[in-house]
Amino acid sequence: MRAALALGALAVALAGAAPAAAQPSQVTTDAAPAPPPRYDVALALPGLGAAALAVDAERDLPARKLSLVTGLAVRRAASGDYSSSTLAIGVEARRWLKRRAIWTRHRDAMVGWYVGGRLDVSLNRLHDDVMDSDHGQMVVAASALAGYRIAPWRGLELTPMAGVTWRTELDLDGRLPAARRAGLTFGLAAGWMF
Amino acid sequence: MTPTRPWPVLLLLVVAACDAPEVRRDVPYDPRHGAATTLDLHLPDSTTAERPAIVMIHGGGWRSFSKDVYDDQAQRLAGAGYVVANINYRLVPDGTYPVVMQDSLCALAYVRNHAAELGVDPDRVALYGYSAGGHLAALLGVAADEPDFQPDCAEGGTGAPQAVIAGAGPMDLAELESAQAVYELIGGRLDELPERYERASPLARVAAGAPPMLLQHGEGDLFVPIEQSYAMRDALRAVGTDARVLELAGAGHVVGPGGSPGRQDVVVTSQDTPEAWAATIGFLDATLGAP
Repeated sequence: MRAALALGALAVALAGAAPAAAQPSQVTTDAAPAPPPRYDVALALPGLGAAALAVDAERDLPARKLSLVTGLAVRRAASGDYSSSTLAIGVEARRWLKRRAIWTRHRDAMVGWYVGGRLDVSLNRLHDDVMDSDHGQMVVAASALAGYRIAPWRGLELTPMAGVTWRTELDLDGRLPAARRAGLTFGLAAGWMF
Repeated sequence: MTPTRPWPVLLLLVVAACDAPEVRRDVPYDPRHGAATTLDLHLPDSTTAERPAIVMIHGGGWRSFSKDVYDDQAQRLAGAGYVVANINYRLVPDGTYPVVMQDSLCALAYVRNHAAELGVDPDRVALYGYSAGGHLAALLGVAADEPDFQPDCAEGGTGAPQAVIAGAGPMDLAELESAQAVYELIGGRLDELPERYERASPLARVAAGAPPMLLQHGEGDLFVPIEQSYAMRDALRAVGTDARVLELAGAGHVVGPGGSPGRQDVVVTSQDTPEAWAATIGFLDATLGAP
């Protein structure tokens, strides 16, 4: 399941890369710098400690200094006398500021400081092993984020991020009213730019 | 598997939004101690005569915070049809052993004594707490008859609740004796006051007839090890009580999985995650009955 999701995210990124690959090859010389990477696939590291696999695929829009991110995540957080499964999708737009960073040879790429807005929607189902019953929740989270990406070796990148998130929780069984709350959020992603 | 029906749910949400629970703030359950012994009542707007009730006990190491930290959760539970009493209690140093236990029991007695006025079924009352509040909820679940805990307030004492939900609650204080908050609560070290540590430890007080208990805990809790909740569950089951643990990966004491599964959010407790809410409402329905 996790491998399939990772491959799916990679496929999304590669599908976006296809037109670029189809363009006529450029004439290069030894002095010509390598073109900056325009795509990234990243894994959220905090998710690994939360029994979650969260993968983002990102595409650069250099003319606008923007990038667009789509994310897919699964989580199985509950244990003990319960089990749970969560499926989440997210979309994010990032505005890259200087597009360069310390310890990073790439220039005019998705590196350095950025600010972004993100929307995540997740569906969660909890199974009560004692009662053999199920309960569902949906969470919609809108986040304002800022981060800094470095690419210290080839396409490898690390991106810490932090921000504010507004969550709305909906009980899919209709027993609880919606809950809305705001909070601080942080994350760290590791990925590969290409 | 329960099928998911989104459109009726959305309709219910709209209806619920138009039917917000009434809140009566700062109601004194023991007028002698001012704001320290007040509670907020969250009352669902309905004609139902006898509803189950939930008494909420906030956390904060027995020495910090107030009922305000539980306000959103109280309102959500009231929106689900429960009468909720969200309490303050005297904090350490005024609230050292056994004062915090007495205040919590007095608040529980208040809800039962005013059951008719509040539309509460006094035989369907749960205690709900997190951290220090989880400790107090579990302790009064298993030791409401402890002589030390009997309050001298006008409401008097009362029996054990019918159910307990304890999030990240210390169950064995002897194991946590090095914690300053535990030392201050008990008023001394383990070797000085071993009997107090035992009386104040829910794990040591488990006996037949204890109410059903839901124990919610983050696996990465650095303040209160999750093993304490599992030990409590096993002890309760050994005496025939329905007890269960909801363990949450990626959750600490005040940090939890974020609105995006790949991030972490603060302040999110293991009791305030979608998984915990689903477990809570299922447990309350099973133990107290639906409102």
